Amino acid sequence: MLCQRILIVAAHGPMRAIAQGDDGDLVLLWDSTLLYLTRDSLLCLDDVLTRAKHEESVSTDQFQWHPAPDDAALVWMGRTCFYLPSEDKPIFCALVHEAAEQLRSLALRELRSQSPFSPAFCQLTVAEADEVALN
Amino acid sequence: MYSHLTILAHSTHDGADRQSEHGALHMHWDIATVRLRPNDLLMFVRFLSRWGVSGEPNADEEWCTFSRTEQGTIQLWLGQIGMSVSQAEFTTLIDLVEHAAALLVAGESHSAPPQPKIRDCPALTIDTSAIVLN
Repeated sequence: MLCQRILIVAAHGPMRAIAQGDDGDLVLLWDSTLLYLTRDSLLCLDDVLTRAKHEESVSTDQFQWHPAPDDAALVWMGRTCFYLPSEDKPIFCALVHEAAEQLRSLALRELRSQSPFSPAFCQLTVAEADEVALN
Repeated sequence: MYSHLTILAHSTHDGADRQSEHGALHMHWDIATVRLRPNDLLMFVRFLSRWGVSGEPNADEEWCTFSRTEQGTIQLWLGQIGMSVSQAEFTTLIDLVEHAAALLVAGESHSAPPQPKIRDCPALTIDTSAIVLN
């Protein structure tokens, strides 16, 4: 990822943020660590974290969420893992969710500016197309 | 952010140690970059040198931990950040951080070592295209 510009799509304090480069890829800054994710990966991570609210452990090809002692959690992203103490879990989940919502919103705004007959519009799901039509 | 990063060590396993002009070290491995202070890197190297090649199944010292899994992979923890690496990658990682630490100790990093000097390192492959200017 070598970018001229980055857009901060979510932040919690100075050391926890998610930013998107002009190539579309994302950087997750979490304290002393930077993690590089594609847009699809971040959306997938958000899905995993959402599922983790109702399921004890969640595993996908890319991500895993497992409980740890003292109400902590381990979130594996590829071969990198964050240990999230109890107090950090909601912050991490909210950060990723906010970024995912921003990305979805940005995608919709881009789609709205396109012709309804463009190929991108035709690839919308029914729910997304409804939302575009309503707006 | 940084306007200049100096590569201290680099490997073909998608790993690199870089130092910013502010002195912080960036250990890039797989999809993650971990920032370390120079003293932290030296402590990490001491830990790896002591335990990494000892064959011990587990080791725990200050904020560094590693454990070997039944599948033969190694889980390495630096504080709250974990990495899963194969034995071969672990060996590469040890070489990488030892080389970076040697440069730090020699004080060469403070004067931004010229790339040819790094390229002379026999144990590591240097890809000068990997230099990142943020």
